[in-house]
Amino acid sequence: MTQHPTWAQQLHLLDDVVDRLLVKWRPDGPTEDEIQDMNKLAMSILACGYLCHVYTDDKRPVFMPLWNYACNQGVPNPDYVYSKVQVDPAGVYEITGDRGTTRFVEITQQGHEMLGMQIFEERTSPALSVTHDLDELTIGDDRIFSVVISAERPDGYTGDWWQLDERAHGLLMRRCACDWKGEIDARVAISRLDEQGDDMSSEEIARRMSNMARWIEGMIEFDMHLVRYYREHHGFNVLTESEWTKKGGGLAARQAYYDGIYQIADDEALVVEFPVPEDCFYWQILVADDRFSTVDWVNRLSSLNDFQARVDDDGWFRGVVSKRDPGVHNWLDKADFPWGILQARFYRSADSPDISVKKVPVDNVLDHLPGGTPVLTSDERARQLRERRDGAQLRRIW
Amino acid sequence: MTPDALPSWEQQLTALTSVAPDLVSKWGRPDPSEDELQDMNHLALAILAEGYLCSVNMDPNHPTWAPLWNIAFNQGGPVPDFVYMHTEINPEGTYRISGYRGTSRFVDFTLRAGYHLVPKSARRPTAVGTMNDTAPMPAYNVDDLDIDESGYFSVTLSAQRPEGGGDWWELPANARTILMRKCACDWSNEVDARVAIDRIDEFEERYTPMSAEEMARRFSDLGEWVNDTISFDMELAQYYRDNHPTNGIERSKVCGAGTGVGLQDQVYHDGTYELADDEVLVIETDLPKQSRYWQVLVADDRFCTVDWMNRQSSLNDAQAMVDSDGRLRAVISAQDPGVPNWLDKADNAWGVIQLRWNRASDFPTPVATKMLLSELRNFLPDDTPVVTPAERRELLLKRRQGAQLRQLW
Repeated sequence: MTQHPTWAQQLHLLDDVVDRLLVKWRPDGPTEDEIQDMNKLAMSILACGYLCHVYTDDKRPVFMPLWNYACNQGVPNPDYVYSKVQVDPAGVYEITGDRGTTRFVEITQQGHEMLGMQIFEERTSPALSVTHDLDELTIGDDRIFSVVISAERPDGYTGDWWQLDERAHGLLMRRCACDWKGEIDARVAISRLDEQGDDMSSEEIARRMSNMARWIEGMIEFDMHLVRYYREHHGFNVLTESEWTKKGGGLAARQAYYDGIYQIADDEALVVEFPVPEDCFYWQILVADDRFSTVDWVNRLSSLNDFQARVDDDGWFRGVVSKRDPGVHNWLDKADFPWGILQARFYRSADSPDISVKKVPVDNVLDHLPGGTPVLTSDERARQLRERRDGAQLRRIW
Repeated sequence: MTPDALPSWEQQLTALTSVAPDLVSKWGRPDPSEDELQDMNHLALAILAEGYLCSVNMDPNHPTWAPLWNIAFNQGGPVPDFVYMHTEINPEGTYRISGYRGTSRFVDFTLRAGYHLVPKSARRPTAVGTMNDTAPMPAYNVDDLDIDESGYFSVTLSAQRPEGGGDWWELPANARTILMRKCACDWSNEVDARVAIDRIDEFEERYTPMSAEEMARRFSDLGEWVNDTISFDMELAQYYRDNHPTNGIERSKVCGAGTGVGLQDQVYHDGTYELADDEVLVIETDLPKQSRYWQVLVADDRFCTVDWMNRQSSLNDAQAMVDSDGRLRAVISAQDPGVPNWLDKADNAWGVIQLRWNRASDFPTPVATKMLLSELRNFLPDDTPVVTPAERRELLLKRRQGAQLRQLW
């Protein structure tokens, strides 16, 4: 009889994961708070690994929650809901549902089973770069859509069809909303239309559980490495267009990503300025920690999109990155992190603006903003935060 | 490690190592097979992930709704029509629950004295006979609130009614968690409620994240979370096997009105099935003259509802076909009996049957009859339609689409 790993053996495989991550994250030794924070992050990615790798089945697919405020990796864009499903490139799938009214819904084909440092190394070869947009489809007045996705168009099928790349093993769906409270999220179902076969075997369940160490370590190490790549190649207190993501496929074909590192003291701030492109379908800016975990966006103002941000009369966006509340509408709250990622994106934009980043004392921020920039009262700030936290909860995460 | 140091990751994992083996022992399967062992590992990992979302990542000072029981966290005999969401509250706090009602059948909130990771004194014991140790807690319904034309509602939850007007629900001093049930019957077309919760009495203070000590404590309680969740439901399934009919159902001795368990405006009928592969169990019943909702489901012997995404393991008042004589007849079996109201028990040797009448005018008593599959057609009314394999495939496709179109988080 084949003996699959026991529960204790599966857990044992995870024993060293956090220690290895801590050495890379805090080579000089972590504090107790940092150890516990990494424990929580690792547990969160185990939870996401259960949902997106152990539970998921390419014979009986379901879009599962991947990155979100509870599973905070991959520098989640708070405007996006990220869902993942596994697919068999030989399978025939139908994706159907209600388009909703959100800004866009895109589905990217992914070649890898899970993230890891190999993805970094593979960047030298052509990446799988296929992304479809629900708005390419025929959408009824009732907002209902349906598309078949498969290697070949099924015989006699005349409806909407997308080709499934022979290298694709997963689909990553990004549902983007800017007015979190007012827009209606898409509802999306996926089913396999060709022969589904047996339920997942216990051997396969055991194999997937045994992958959890790689899933956790691969995802967190990859993201920590990418942050350090930006520190080395983009530098501090800047925001410049990322050549790295351009090579990566995904949304990068239509979206310009800007990355840089913030590193400021508690009494300092960064004033970030750019002219908002006139013809841009969507733009956004966020702050994350040094592991590519976006600063808690339910409870803090850690991101601003084109609906949430205030644009000055001259057509420029001016935001303030700081720990202390600078009093302006466009605060990007970096929380307690001494350094981390500053990221902006311009999606389907006619041009890519230059972004200026200037370090100033947080008490003097208004001296570096146009005269007349409104200062929020504490009541106004509390209202802004309440609206934000409600909106974040009213999104459809799963 | 200093004596005051918090547990390391490895220590936290070590504390979990006995969880699944202990659960396998309690499950009581003689000489469990490799498939059964892996299935329990899968369930334990699922409830561990649930515990992370519902407890480790949950802060009663900054609450959000987290997914509790669902297709991937299959415990508590989840009703496939319900989306179950969990949050923690501090009874000294003032909270606002707000959002958009949607069009689904109902949205109920049950306050609870505990769910695992609250002080032990407030927890419910896991033994079925003693699980009603706390005074009945209030349950609230969103349709009792003022709902504006856009579907928006907002209610304050606090110990004392706040000054000024507006909707208010009382928060009892022993409440620690809230369970929200969002019920839909036409899964594809009803619009789920979107609901937020905020603590509003501390909002003026700068946001303070949970301390490392509290995070570590919650992590340390995960073993108990997994064990309690699964043990409780295995005990409940075994209770039904020992105290309710086999291949029959009767009004629940432990759930429903007056028990403090389950919805208190609902009458549950429970029992177990135990069928060979060539046998079927027909559940026959009149229907209440009026009800807000009714439903019947089959679960396994751990009270995991049979995979409702991929199998027809439940039927509600919008999904079931009611016979021309006004009665409901549903057929529990492993093999497809070729009738609309199949309840697919999968390959479970035995498991739980549960039927519920919600806010009903009357409570008909169902009758169960076991027979061979080959005898079924003679037993059912002549006009019972035949469902061909191709039709079944189409029905199941629609069902799995509907299950995915619900808002699970």
